[in-house]
Amino acid sequence: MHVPDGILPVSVTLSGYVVSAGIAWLCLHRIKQRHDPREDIPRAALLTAAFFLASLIHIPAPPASVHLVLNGLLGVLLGLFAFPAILIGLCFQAIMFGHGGLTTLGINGVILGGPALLAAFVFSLGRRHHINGRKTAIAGFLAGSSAVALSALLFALVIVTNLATHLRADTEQSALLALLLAHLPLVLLEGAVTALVVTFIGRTRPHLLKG
Amino acid sequence: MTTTTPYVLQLSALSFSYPDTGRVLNDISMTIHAGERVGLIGPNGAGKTTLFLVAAGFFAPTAGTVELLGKPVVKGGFRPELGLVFQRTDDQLFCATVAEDVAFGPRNMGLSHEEVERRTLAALAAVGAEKLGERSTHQLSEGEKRIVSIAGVLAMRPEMIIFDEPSAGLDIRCRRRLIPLLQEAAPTVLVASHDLELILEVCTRVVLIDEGRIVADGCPRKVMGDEALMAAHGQEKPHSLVPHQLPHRH
Amino acid sequence: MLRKVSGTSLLARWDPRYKIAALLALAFSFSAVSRIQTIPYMLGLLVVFWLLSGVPLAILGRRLRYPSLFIALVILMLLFAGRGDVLLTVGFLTITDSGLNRALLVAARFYSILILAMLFFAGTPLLTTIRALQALGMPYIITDMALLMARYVEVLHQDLRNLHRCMHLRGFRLRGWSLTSLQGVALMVANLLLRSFEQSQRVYLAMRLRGYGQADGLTPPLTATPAEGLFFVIVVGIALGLGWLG
Ligand SMILES: Nc1ncnc2c1ncn2[C@@H]1O[C@H](COP(=O)(O)OP(=O)(O)OP(=O)(O)O)[C@@H](O)[C@H]1O
Ligand SMILES: [Mg+2]
Repeated sequence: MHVPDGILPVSVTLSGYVVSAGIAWLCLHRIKQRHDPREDIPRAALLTAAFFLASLIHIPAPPASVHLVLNGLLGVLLGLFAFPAILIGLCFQAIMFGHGGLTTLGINGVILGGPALLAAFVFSLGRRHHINGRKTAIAGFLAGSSAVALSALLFALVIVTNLATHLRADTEQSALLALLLAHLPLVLLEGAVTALVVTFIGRTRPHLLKG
Repeated sequence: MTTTTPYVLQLSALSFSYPDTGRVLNDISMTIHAGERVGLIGPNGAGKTTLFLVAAGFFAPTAGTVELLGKPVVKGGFRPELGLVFQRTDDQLFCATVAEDVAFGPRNMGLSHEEVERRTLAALAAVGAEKLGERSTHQLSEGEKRIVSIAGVLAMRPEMIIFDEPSAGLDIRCRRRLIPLLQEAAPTVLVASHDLELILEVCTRVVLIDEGRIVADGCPRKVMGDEALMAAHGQEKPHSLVPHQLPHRH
Repeated sequence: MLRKVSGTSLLARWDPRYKIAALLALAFSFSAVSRIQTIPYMLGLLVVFWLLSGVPLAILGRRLRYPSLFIALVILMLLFAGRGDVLLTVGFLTITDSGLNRALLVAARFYSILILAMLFFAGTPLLTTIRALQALGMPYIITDMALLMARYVEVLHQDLRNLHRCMHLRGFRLRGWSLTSLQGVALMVANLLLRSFEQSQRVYLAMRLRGYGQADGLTPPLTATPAEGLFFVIVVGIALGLGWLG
């Protein structure tokens, strides 16, 4: 779900950088207002490294194989750190595997990081009263699937609107539909994995879910 | 243990429990004087690591006080006079290269770049790891990691260093290299280990704790030679203290 | 001592701060190429930087494979579903002039930027890149996180491998769509996260004990020669020129 280099006009990629920088600045600003802003850095960094690795696990899901995105779970566990974490993860992917795009770093940050922040919010609504049990699982499912669904929607919109002027109108609509449908299994998968992981963590380390 | 030398670390009536546990430390009082090399022994879960974390100011004790060189240790403060070498080397070596890791402490002490560099080189030389400077920390062998993590603490020139299980995971040769390091690392040393032979070689005093209480404190040969006491707290008398072997030791 | 110089090519030795800024300028100017006539200039520049980098072609080829998947789809779509006058009909597929034009542009821009980034990052350790970002004024929260990530990603990778091996030895197989498979994945992810969390607690203690957060401005100064600066100015000039050509 990464917009590659070379298909977006410079105006769009530059705006992506500006919006991403703005959101990151807001997150960092809020983090710096904490009593000791450095206290959570190692936790955020190591969890981000773990997420980075988890997104490399490849799951055979016939007919294809998929990689988890896990931006919803990342939002749930990292809160405000989720957005900078995703930017760093994207940088690492670009540098280490040439994957994801350089000029599109900003826009990809928005596509993946925005929904992560949303997932953090969705989950916090669900766990306000209970940490354990079915409610956690449901909140986890909603957070995980809504984040990926929103990311997929943003992704498809960015791709299709920018190719639209060059495609025949019928192709444009079917491309949008196809892109969205292709992500449907992933949305369910992410929701299920997030629900299971959140339940597991709720049982073993409940304070991690308290945000 | 009545000496007139000034104390380095003083724990008075220290108690501590984690949020979800009963008492892990129970009324612990002890004074460590300058120049002492103290061994801390006790079974798994006795509270050794917890004691170190409280002494270093990571956790506030539920009762009692900790004083380091005459000044109370407060939670969250930075006391470069006290160094701690953690049990797991991967926790201790958090920078990407060896040189950066060793330089981390001195830099935070606000020293100049030249002084930081000088201390880094000196500390690496002191542990015999000059050649490792540019290596990645994660590629080192366990023995090299141990040596380098000690260098990182040495570079801060602390008055006292605490070692938590320094010989865990080392082969015989690395362990041999470790012993003089422990003896000379700092003026005052506190070592926790299940390696009783190591304690016997390094330490001038030994403290035995079990279930968060001090059950013995004194001369290493006397405490560790007391078979009944050791057995009562899940310890085995070191082989070199078994009577028929005693004459072989100097 | 703390400034790592690995790799001997001209590009690898260039001050990393200039290198990052120049890479971004060039990448954006490449992405602004919108006329077929400009493509040869872009490819020419790529060849120059390839010569300066000394990266073997075989390595480039291998690393291009995976990122090519998605872009190939986009290119095919542009090629066969473009607007404009029909150039060619193959069975039920038609290729239009503007479709061909767009497809060529997208392919050229995508691969040029991808290869450029590879050339620039080859021979520059990740650590050096992060240090350079720090020197360029990136906030400490970001660079500290990146440094710790760079350090622990390998450790955690080993953890994940071991975890996978343990599960495998006890009969777990990742297999298609099934609840057990899903639970296995979740167990793997949850364990990885918990391990990283626990390790981070210990790392934080170790960092604090060595004064983390006590002094600011910790980075050793980077120094660049005037020649490196001049090279930077030239490269940015070229990027602007390319952007002007469009
Ligand atoms: N973070 C923690 N939260 C809750 N309980 C803890 C925590 N860390 C340790 N404990 C408990 O405190 C007790 C003392 O643990 P500690 O690690 O201090 O023992 P130790 O003497 O260092 O053991 P070992 O020789 O195995 O290293 C144990 O019962 C342990 O379960
Ligand atoms: Mg311990």
